[in-house]
Amino acid sequence: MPFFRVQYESVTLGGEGEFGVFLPRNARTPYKTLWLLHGAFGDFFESIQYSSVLMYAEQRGMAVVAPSSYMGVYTDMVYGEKGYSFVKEVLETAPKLFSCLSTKREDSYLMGISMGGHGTFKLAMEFPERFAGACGFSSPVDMVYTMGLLESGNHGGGHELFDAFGSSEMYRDTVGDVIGNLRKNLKAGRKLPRMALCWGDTDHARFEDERVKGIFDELGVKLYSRVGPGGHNFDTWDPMMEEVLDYLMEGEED
Amino acid sequence: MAVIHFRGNLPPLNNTTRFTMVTPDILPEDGRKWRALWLLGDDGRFSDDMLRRIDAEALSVRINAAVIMPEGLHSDYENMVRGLPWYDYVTTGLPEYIRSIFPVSDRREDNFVFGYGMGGLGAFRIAMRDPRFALAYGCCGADFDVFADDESHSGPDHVHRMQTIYGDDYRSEEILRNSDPLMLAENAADVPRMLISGGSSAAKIAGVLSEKSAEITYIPSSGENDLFHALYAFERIADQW
Repeated sequence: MPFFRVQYESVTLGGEGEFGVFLPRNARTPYKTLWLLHGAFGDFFESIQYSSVLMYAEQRGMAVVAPSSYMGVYTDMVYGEKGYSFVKEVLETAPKLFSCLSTKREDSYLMGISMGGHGTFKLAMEFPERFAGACGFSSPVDMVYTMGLLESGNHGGGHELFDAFGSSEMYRDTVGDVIGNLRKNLKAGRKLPRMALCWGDTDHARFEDERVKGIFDELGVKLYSRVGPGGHNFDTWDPMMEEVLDYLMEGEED
Repeated sequence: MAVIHFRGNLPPLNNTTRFTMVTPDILPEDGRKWRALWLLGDDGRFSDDMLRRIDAEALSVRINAAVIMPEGLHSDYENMVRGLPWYDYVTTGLPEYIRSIFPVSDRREDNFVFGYGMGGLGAFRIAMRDPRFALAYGCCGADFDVFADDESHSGPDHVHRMQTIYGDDYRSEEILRNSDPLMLAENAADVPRMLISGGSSAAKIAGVLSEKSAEITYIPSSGENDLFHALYAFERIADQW
């Protein structure tokens, strides 16, 4: 796929920002777009390097836009960079630079790997009218809960999560409170994207993701989910990507 | 402002290639498109060579245009007999692709071509063959004597290079008519606005073109700062930024 690495002066970062753009061959413009969010401590190339997501996207006529988010925590950090504002800035900037990218809801999809899935669901809840589909792989969707685990010593994450999110109480009722904002969206009657969450059967994130699946079920919100064999790695996620993309593009509306 | 590095397979090359692009500070409003400066680099250089040689970001701001820097490897930006069709790529394939991806204008008055070294030769030939491609053309440091049968153009490396690009019979009348800078200048019917910078051969060609057009500017070679002098002068004579 034709590949563009974009460096630009980011207002939100107060310095240089970076994202990658991959355009499909043999597809008509404006292109459907998959916004791909990498995992913690990665960069935009991570998911490209370790999975076949570009091939899956191209087979479906989709461009892929992948921002490099500092530390990959997708939040305006308590101590650190404005990682969430940066990703929203890329959502605005990329289609202005690349006029071939569609910004229509029916052409716009989100995919997040691990922590990128938190960013994915966070964006999907803030802008449900902007995206037709959103999926996460082994993702801490409910970071308020995950921070609670961390505070009680039941999570393997390090101090950097406190630097980023502060605490479970600080993060509650913010734009990052995905479950809280899901409830608000339901109450407001906002149309939600198709959503999917997949994880591995020996994945350390499986308990958090099973819990999130349960919450969605209780609320009556369809969350397509698959459990693959394996742990928290691309060997587990890659075989599920095609099926999930097909669901996001063609699955039943909730 | 953005610096974009491209890597991919584009027609008519049908071969992996690179280009580097600097976009202006201001994103275009709905329906508006950027002007474009097509900046052709020297022999054997990657596409970011000109980005490093000049401050292309500052240039993009000054002229309020996207600066697009393709690579041309060792092609003279020609459709090579033994190689790839670089001329068609630079004048057709690449512009069509860029305009399908980015908000870059295809109007003649919004397009400018400047080349350095081998790129100067490429820019000159585009001006002669496709004068409607751009409003103004700048050629700096080009070897206008590339077909000459003299000592500096007879070494085995030069002969091999010429045979690769133009064919074994590269001094044939047909090849010279199509590619020799002086013959192109003498036969040109439609001469666009041009800046030519260089030594005596450049002066001779500028003289031929000046007899046909009042819009030819010649700058004598000034040594190692030729590129900067020529580029600043080109900014002034283009004057449509």
